[in-house]
Amino acid sequence: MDLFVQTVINGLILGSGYALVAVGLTIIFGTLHIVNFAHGAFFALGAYAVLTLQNFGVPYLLAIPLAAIVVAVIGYALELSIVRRALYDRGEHGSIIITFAISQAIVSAIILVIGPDPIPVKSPFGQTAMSVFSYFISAQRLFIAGTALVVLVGFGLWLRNSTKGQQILAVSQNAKGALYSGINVPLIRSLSFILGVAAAGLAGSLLAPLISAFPTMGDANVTIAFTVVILGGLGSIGGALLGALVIGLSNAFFETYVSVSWTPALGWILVILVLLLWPQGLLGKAQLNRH
Amino acid sequence: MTMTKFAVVADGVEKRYGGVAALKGVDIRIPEGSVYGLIGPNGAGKSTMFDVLCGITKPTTGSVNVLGMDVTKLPAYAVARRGVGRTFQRTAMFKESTVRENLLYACYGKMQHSVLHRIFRLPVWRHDMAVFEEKVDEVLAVCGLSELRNNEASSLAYGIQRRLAVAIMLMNDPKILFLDEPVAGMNEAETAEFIQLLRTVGCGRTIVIVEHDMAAIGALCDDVMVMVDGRAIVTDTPDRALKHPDVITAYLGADDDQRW
Amino acid sequence: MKALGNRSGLPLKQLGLIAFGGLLIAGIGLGFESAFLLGLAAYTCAFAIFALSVNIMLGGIGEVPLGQCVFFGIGSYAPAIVMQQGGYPFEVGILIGMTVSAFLAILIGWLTLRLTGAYFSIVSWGLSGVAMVTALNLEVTGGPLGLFGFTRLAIGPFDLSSPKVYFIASAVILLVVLVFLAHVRSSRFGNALESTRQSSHLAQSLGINVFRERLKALVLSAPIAALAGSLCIPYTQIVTPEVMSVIRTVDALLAALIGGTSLLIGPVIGAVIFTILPQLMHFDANVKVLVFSLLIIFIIMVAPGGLHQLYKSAVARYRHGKKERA
Repeated sequence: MDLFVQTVINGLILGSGYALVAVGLTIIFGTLHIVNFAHGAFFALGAYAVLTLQNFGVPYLLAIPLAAIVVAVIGYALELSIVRRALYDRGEHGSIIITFAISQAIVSAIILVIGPDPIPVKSPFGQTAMSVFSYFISAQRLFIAGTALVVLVGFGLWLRNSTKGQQILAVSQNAKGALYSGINVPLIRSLSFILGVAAAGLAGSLLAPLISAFPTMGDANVTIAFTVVILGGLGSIGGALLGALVIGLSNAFFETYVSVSWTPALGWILVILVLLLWPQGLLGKAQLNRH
Repeated sequence: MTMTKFAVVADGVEKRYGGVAALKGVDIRIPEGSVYGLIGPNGAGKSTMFDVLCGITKPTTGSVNVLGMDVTKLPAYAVARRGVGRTFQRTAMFKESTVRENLLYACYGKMQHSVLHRIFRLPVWRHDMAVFEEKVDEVLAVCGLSELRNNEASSLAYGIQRRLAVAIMLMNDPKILFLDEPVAGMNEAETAEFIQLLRTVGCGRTIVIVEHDMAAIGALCDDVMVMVDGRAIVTDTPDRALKHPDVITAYLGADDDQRW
Repeated sequence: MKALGNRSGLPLKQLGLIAFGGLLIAGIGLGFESAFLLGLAAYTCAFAIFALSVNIMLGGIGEVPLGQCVFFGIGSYAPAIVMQQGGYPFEVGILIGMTVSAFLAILIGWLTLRLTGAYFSIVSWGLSGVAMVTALNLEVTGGPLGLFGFTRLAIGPFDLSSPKVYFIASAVILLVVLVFLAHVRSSRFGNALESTRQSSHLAQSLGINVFRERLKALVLSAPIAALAGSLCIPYTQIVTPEVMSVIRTVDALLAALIGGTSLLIGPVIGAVIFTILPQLMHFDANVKVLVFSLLIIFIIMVAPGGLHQLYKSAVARYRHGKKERA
């Protein structure tokens, strides 16, 4: 029973981290209609940004928001130079390959500049574990879950209550309608892209102390993020949160009760199953089928 | 007393998307060899009905019989193979290919050869190619495209592209044609030419048209069915249907920019 | 009736091209003595075969088959396992790899080809992830170390351990694959694929069973990928779980895109550039990835048709210029 509860706690905390990555992915899909295969690379960029900032003496807690900003700036540069020109309103085929190529380019650039080996990232929480009702939670994990929760709730409120947030929702529901009603759709798309990759960067900076920084660290996480957003229905933010919890829990249970060495395959198997069984996702709406 | 034979018989067709009902019980009888129009304000369910009739969309309930087959039980490609041709508004042709290639792709149903037949140039392949060459000349001549056979489809004028769409369909010798807004976006001269083409093509075939251009409907159709809000409200000849008080109310009541 | 060739029924143009290919192979095979260059050329041929396989999906039906490396990996593992565990010859392993991958393609395609676009790519990528973890964890695949130390790599009487024989064998196989695919493209099946790629709605309304044709494309591409996987073994001398890595597919996608996906020979041209250029420039593996990733972004933005398109527009401009001057 103790193991069970501990696994549930681990799963929920894991899920909150996934939710951050997934929300970015789903928002980009919602407004731009591209699946951002480079999402994992932005995740890694976030971790390396923290690492670099720390080398300059910036404390971890301050480095986190700065890292998200750095990733946002890099994202904006890529949006201006590539994404905007090559992807909007083009075939899917091009967007898959370009975002994949962006991801490859970022990963190889990291290897060339910093190196291929994992580098531990220090955090003030260190290895301390906290005991809550006699269950152990590492302080870093608790911090991740807490930050993720605050950011997600804040983001949700912002989407609902601010003009820009409303416009993002409008574009993701109906880009053409939004355009006709005077919304600056290109601006909203840029903004969504930047917010989306910044969320990935933030997740990377939060998770880096747990898993160390290495160039392909984003791969495993983006795999899971794909599962999460597909499970929740691509483009649905509420769905992404639900999906993140489901996947977080199932990953934790698989790791605890089945096998650690097969866990990397679990994410993919879930992606495949979800896409085959519920291509619309759990909360995705059935599409109006008009030619 | 002669019995009218029907090419299309549909009863109680309903189609719901989630909670939204696009079709609320439509009956339709289209006599063989006639030209039949589906009209109505935007959002009336014409396009959905059209897709249901040619087997692309499956109705939630109701029966649809086209040329004696139950199209609700057949996949779209199987319906097409059994003599049902249809044009699309948006993807009417293969834009990246030439006119001739377009017709070659359309000739799929008439060919039988496999890759092995092709590699070894076996008689099956030779026969297929001969059939195609004969058919392609005939169809190009009917549609007035003979001069343009090696032009890329995307480079053709809009009116010509619509002709190509018809030509593509004719390669399979369909018994019934479904045309989705065939003259939309054409100028008057193009429309007149196109109507002439359809009269030639329509000989011995049933034609079903969804169209907003009432002049074209009046010139072509023997009968029309007026749809409003997922229901058929009037079925009559074009002249009489358009004068029907219910139809006038429906069109006036429609608050969007209707092109008459 | 140009496609039919001349009246005698012999396709002279095609035969001429095949003869040219044969001469090219003989020229390179006999002209070069360096074992390194011949080995690299042979590997390039194998890689080109894989790029052709990927392009059946990319240029053929317009999907991005990130998981095509699974079939490549099966093609690599099958001979390795068969030779080491069963003591069977290399050729038997090649055939087993091709057969297994074809059957697996039926299963995978039946499950996944109802999905399109990004959804298909994600599932396909997922399969490569699962395949790699499986190869890492199984005993028969040698785990993370992989399989190595093969005794006799030969096809019939041709011993592939000689670089010259290895090159000629893989080049001839590449030529055969090209001739085969050229006929596929100009057959009814090829027409069905092209129409499906351009507009699946219209293809369906012409009586084409779109799902079935897409499935056939995958089942056609899988054994070709497996063949490529087998032909790489004499060059690499080892089979590790890395053969299932999605990076391998990406390399092939790049090759196809560089050369031009609409051209039969495009992936071959791309494969040559992709393997030869980094060697000439002494690129580090990561520089290579960086350069080619940027190149591909550039190509999709400027010339989605690859070098083929650049060439065509250059020719058009040249002709146009000549006309103006005249």
